[in-house]
Amino acid sequence: MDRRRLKFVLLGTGVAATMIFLIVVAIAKPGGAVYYKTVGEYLAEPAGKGNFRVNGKVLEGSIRRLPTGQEVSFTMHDGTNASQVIRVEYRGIIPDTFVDKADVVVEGRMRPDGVFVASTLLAKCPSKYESADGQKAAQGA
Amino acid sequence: MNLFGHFALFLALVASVWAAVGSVLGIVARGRGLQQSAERAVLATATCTLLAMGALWVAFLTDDFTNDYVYHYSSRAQALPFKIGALWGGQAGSLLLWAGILTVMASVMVLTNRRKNRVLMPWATFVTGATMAFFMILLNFIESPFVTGAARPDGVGLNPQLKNFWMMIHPPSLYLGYVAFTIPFAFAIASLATRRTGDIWFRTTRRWTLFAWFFLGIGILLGSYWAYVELGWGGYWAWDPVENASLMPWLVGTAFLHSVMIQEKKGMLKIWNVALIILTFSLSIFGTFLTRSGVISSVHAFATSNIGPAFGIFLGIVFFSSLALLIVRLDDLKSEGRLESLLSRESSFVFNNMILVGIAATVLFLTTFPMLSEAVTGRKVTMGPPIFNLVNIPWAIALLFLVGVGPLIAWRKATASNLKRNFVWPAVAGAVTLVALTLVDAREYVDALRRLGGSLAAFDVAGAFDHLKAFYPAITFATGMFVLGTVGLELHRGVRARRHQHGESLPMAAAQLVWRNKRRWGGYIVHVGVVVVFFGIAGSSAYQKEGVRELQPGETFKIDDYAMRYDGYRLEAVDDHVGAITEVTVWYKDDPVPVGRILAEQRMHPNMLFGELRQAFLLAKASAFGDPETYRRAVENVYAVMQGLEGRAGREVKTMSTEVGIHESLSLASPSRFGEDFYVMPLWVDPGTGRANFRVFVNPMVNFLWIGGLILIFGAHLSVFPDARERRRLETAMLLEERAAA
Repeated sequence: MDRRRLKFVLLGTGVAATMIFLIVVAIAKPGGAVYYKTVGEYLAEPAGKGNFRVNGKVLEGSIRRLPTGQEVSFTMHDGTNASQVIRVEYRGIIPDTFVDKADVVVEGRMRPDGVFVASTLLAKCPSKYESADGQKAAQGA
Repeated sequence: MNLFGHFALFLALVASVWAAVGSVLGIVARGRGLQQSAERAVLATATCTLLAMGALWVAFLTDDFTNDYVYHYSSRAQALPFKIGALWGGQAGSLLLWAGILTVMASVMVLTNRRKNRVLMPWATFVTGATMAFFMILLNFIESPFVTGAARPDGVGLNPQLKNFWMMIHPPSLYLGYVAFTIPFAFAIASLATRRTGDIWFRTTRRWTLFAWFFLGIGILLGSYWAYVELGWGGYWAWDPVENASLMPWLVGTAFLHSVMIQEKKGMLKIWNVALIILTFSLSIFGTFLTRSGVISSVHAFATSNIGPAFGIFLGIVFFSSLALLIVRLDDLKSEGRLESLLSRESSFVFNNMILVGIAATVLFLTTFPMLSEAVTGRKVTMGPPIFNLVNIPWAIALLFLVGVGPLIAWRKATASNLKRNFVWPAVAGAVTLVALTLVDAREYVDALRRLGGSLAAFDVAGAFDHLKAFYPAITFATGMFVLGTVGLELHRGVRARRHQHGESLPMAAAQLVWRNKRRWGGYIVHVGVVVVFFGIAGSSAYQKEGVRELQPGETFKIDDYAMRYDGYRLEAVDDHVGAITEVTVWYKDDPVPVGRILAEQRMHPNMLFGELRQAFLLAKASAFGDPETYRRAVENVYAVMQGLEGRAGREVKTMSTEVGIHESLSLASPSRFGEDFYVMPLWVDPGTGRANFRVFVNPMVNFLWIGGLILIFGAHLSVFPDARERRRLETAMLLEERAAA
């Protein structure tokens, strides 16, 4: 390989290598990549250090909003197995889509007393608000 | 109408299959008749697809709720524009729109090329025909918009967050971009298949490529704007998988647009260019797949569906067969020149390509990592925006620097005098900006430097990158000024020369300069637009201020240099929702004259499937023109009914949405605030007392993003404007190619 080509190959390799390096740094960084679990998986595995994202459903009637409108606590259950639950406390902006039975994702860590303290709360925005049980409810109403 | 739609789609399937099969037979048998028939089949596919779209529109406009798709995405009360736009509100309709655009583009391709591009056309027809056939299979057998069900009195209606003007034009714009890349791809494949690897394929499709690149870019910006004004989180980009899906083909498409110039001028990078267009098209398909299949969970949360496997198979076929064809034809793609020096225009384009493709690759990796991780280790992982930012911002800044270098550095090998002539003054402009910005906040920068040094000394790489963040805005502004400097210097020289030669006035000379070389100056203007967009991103992400406060009517809240007073509220029941419109007045610093008044609304869209709620809502709507007090009480009653139902019926009682209130500072009278937004959204409003919780953002420079977008639109239009010189170039190239073939 002649020297000119070598220069360009080195340049390309350099770009690729720094990008890979940056990715590794970013993922390894504390708070970088976050493990994503369902309530069941989270309870099954002893929670390690660091942040977790836990995915589940809001137990109907469990939402307790504090008067500020910015603090809420609720019980989240595993979508498939309603007996597996964790209690969640959250402070911050509560999304419009956060309601009973909504699919939610919380990010945070377990306090020693077994309450999950969430730093972020995401409620999936349903692309349409009609679901199978919604229709049943509508017919019942 | 539904039967008609079904039928039209089926005919479109037959026609598109014939377009693909017929052209292959035409190629094999060298039959001109077969080729002609296949080309006509493309036109027939377009006609049938448009008829199917028409049928669906009729179903929407006539409130035909026996159609499942209409039932889900429309309702009687839905305003007319949203009945029309609801066509692409869901999965099946989006695919229909995709197919509709594709068939129309394929027809334009046939009509404009069937006489002059006889060698490439059969293959190009095959590729587009096969792509159309794929979408027709999806629409006929997997995801049809014409599935019918029981007769229903009213529909569910479009998700309120989609009822927005920008949402009406953002998906079509994105799709125009995604789809238009099919045509350059088809011609690239045709040139490989026929071994006519000269420059006909990309010269013929230059406009298509620019068109695709333009609409994809504008679609991305429109999506950001929509997210900004509608979703109410004060931001416009979150590295969501769906956003990434549109960014990746745009990045690779941008790389293609640049590297193809090197082939045009120097006959180099031939393999690379074909590889790039293959990659761009594959990423367009992948983008649609990612958006529509629900493979990766996303805030957009489109329903998981069964089109995933079909898309996977199609994508695999496209990608691997094109790659195989490219490898078979490697010998035909010999470079006519070679890269001589690192300091040359060729090299700066190569370097720009490496960065663009590199960023696209990291975005692809990070977007699909959760999927890979789950497949390999069984553990789900998510990648947050900080990861994307850490990886991409440094390279994005490097890219911005090349935007300044690329167009002006000399071909082959830059001499010291070339560098001095073009870059000394711009570099000074950049350096002055950097020094000025750091002096303004000197103490903060010294602190940041000290922290950076500390992390580096402790070998804490991640920490160092965290501290580096403090410097990104200043570096971005300085680099941007450098780029603006290069364009400004070029303009200055050109104008001076014209005035000297032709004795024209200053504006005349500038206009003539730009008009005489539309392609080049269109490019420069696009670059200026890109710089302005970078400024917007840097300013709004680095200096955003946020606050949340609960206020009674009459109370005031201070944030940053602003004060906002909550003046009052008003209840309404219109269209398909009830809402509380809050009014606030905003002041800046000590100025007694208010900056402006802002209206922002918290809306509730009641689910009309509940009879009780529907009645209360209709009553409230009906009393809108009567006594205001009765009206208010009727609306309050709707809120009360919703609250009552909530406990019994679960979540489907209502959906909430917020109409954000924004005051843009676009007056040059206050230059320090130019482009700044004061952004207000009520998180909730008590219908009885008006007590409301506001989330407020001050977003400096955010309007630069949209202004940059407008500049970009202007530049892109200029560069594709019909140009006699360009046409001659294309004609010469075609002539040469034909001679070579003969």
